[in-house]
Amino acid sequence: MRLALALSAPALLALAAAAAPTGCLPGDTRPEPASILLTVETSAASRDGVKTADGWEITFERGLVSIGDAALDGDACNAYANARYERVFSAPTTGAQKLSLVYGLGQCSLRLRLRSPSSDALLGEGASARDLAALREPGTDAWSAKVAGTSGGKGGPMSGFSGQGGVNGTALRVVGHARKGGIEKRFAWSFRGNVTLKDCGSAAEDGGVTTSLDLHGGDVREIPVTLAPEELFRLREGAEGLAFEPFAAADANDDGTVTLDELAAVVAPAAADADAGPGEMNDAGKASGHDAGGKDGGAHDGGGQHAAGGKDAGGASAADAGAWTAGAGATTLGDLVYLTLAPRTVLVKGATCQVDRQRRGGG
Amino acid sequence: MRRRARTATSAALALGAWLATTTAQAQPAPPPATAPSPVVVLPVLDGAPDVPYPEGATGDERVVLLLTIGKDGAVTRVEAESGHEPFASTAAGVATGWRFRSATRDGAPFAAKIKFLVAFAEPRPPPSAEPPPATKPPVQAAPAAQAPKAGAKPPPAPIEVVIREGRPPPSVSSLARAEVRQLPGAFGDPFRAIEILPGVTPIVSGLPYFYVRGAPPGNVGYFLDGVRVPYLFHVAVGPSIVNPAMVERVDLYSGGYPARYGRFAGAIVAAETTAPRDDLHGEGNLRVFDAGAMVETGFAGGRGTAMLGGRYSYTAALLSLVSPGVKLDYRDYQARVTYDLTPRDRIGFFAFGAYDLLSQVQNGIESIVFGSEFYRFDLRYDHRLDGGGSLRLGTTLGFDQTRVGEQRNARDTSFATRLEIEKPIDADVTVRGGVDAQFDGYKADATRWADPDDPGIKAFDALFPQRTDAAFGAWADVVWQLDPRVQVVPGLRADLFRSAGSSAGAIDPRLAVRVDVTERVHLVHALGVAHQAPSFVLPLPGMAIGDLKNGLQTSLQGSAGVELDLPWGTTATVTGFEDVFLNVTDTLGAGTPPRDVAEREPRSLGNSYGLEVYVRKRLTSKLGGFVSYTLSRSTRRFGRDLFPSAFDRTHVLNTALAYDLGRNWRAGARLTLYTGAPTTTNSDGTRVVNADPAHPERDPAFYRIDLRVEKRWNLGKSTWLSFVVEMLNATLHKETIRGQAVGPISIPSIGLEGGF
Repeated sequence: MRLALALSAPALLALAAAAAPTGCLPGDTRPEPASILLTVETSAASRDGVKTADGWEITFERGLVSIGDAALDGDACNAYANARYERVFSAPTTGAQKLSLVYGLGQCSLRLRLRSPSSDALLGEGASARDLAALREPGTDAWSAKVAGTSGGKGGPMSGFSGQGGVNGTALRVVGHARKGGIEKRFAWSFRGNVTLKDCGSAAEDGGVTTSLDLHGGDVREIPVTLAPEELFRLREGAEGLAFEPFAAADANDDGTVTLDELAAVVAPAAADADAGPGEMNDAGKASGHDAGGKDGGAHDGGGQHAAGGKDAGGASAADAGAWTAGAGATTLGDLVYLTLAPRTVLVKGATCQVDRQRRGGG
Repeated sequence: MRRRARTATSAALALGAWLATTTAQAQPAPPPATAPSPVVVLPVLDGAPDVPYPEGATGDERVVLLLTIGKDGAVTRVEAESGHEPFASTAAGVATGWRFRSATRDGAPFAAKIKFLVAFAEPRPPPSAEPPPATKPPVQAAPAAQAPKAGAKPPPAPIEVVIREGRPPPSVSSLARAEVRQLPGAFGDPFRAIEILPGVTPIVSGLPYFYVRGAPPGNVGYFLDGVRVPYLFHVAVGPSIVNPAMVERVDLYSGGYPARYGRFAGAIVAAETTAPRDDLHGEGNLRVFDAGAMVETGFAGGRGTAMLGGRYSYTAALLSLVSPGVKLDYRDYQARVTYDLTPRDRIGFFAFGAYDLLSQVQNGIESIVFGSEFYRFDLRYDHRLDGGGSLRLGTTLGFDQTRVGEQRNARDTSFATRLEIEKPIDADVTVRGGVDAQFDGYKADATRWADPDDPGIKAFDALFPQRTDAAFGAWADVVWQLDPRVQVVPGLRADLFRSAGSSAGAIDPRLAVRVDVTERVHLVHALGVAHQAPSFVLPLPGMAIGDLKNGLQTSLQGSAGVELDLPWGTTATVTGFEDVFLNVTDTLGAGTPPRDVAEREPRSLGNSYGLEVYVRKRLTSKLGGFVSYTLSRSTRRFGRDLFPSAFDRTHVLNTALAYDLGRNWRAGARLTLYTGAPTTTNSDGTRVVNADPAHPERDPAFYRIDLRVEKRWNLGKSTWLSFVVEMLNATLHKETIRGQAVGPISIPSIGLEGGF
């Protein structure tokens, strides 16, 4: 039977193909688009470590990030092909690696998503299948349960760190330590869910939104994406210096490891103090009456609520924390790191991006 | 002018003298070389037919009746297969009382089914016409005996004889075009009318894709004259891909279908075209959205026939007025030529195709949102066997194409051949059998502008690889009249599938039983097993999942029903059914797996059971109507996760009334009502885990009312014109789909139809 098939099927199909028309359905008649190659590299700080303005030396031991779903959008944009997949990158690494390739024409806005990887995610240099499995391991934390947004398949409406019912995989994991004067504080933080990054840069300060693209046929563009975990310690938007003192101070049990739950128990530092140099930083205050585990159903909603009754990390009111990122509503240091700073570890053309956050059930 | 009712006459025409299905000899057979042929005598009507010209009617009309004649010569069943009102119901009403000399084979009577043409000729005034009377004379005024004197019609005789059952195959639901024309919301389209049949569950109102007894649309096979086609409808809410004028009948086999049909594990929709005619005739329609026409004539002294038909939509021009960026286009064509080589041998060529395009222009660049087309070229040879029976050898070339992601096309170039034989062994036994083979060469364009690393594209290419699929089938069944009241049709089908380097075989036993408990009470049972290669979500041209490593889909189908012939020409059927679907690729019903689940081709276990009630009186009657109701439950199971099928609708009700208002006005209304679909999938189509299988949350129920009004003018001898106003969802009701109100999807239609 197999032999008969091999002999007869091609011959018969050749006969059929010769007799059948090619059809009336046109092929792809669109004009040649521009191509945009997105590449990823890790920051120098992630490789070499960084010294903070308050005197701590931070070393990043391992980072894992799942990023992708690159897409072009806009009323005046013709998106030819988006890249809906994620790629898992390991940090630190050297050199640029491919993230994805998209095609389009016109006035387009590029966006990315930082989200837990799907089963078919690709692996960057240094990332292993084991890493992929670890990132895909579903779980919950205080934030994933509170800011869960619409989730779903590729291309679905997703933004902000979100997940189905608050259960989701990990999008970003950062492991490292900081040393100062013989004191070492370790950290190993996992950030779950999904974040949409768009409108990177700013027209006023950075010479233009780097992800607003005027694409012409035949253009070949390359847009570098930098993974910069040190941005977790830039406690004020635009500040040159990093700060670790509030993190070290948040180590409530003084076991040498700073956890996200410990950060959630600390009121976020005010803008002015967070930018201060060594010696100007007050001890982190404890956010009394605040549920460090996020089980209060509303404390970490990222929607502008503020912790009440606790001292702030820098001695200022918690309300000032809104200065970090408009609308982030970070009330604790945990909120600030999880909701605001983690998405900012992904820089596009060296600029941070707007985080589009949508909570379940609307807005 | 005094109008004189003239008796209708029946006529033997070349129409149908030669049939695709098994036919009896219409002429003496040449002496066989070995064994003598049985002598078949056709049924002959006792006396002259006495059919009055309908009161209030005008013009000439031809009505084809489908008569079932028992061994005793009595007419046991009458259906008007074609013809307009009030002629059809008049002819059918009278025919119930006719008596025939029964058909015999070698002197033994047998049940037969014949087509009987009743030709009405409008009474015309004599040359010296008297002034017209104030009222029309009673219909009895013209006895039948006068007909031969007045007309030039040949003597009455059956024009087509089908040996066997004298009744439709068990388990089939049929729709004849004459009746469908009167169905509101079907737009005269026999295929669209399928949705009124019991067991058929709509996905979305107006969309011609259905679940049939729980089987997804991708598991429903569509056949036109035995030729497999990907679908029978144009894009979205479009009409059928064949001009309705050339569709004689559409059969829906919901389960336990004849062994002839295989490689589909859900249901079969089989349409038959009209028999070739050598008299010049045609039909056409002109509607707001499209225009269609069909014309057929004979040549070579009636030995040959040629038919040409088609439809063209001008929706693109209309849509450009209201939505400049959107283009919707559809068209189809049909061409058929037959030629009788000898009185027993006919060759035929049937070509048909359909094209659909929905595109969007953005910033001056056109992108195709949906595009598909398919074409079939079927060459067939038919031979009438000595002693009755028939043979058909057919060869089909096909070309299917669909737009897929990244603006590329996927296509299927196919070759198929089939041999079918039907042979009566004696008066009570007819054997049918055949073999067929199908080759499909699948290929997709390479992506021009896409990330070559994209796993989504790679997954698509893996699911639909470039390949050549092959399938071979052999089948046989026996139509066995065990007793005058008991008919049994056992059958067996074997198929061998091969795709992308893997093979699979299937054995499908089938059994259908019909028992006439009394003259008016019948039991109808059907059992069957059916297999199918993995199928795509919807039946789209050129889209078939490759590779058989995960096995075939299998369905176990069973139904039991009671059919009652009620007074006033009403028929009632109550049927219980249960189907089990093993290894089914029902992405639509089961939902796509969540993004985090590594399933590329999810297979589920399905179960469907329910009760169907169908009560109908022909819509072509003075007052006709039907009630079609299905109570059912359909579930899917993945591992331990048992949940309702995404389109499990507990109640589906269709009911309609059509009434002859007189003066050639006819009006009808139809109500469609069904339970909302369970919310077992998210807004993006992914599965909701652990949905309650017994009491799921559901969208609200939906109903709509369709209306139809027709005014007909008979313009002369067999020439007519109709003005038809029709509207689907005249109540402008919105349907809720996954929590979102959609629509209202309403389709108004104003048009002219005519024929000669």
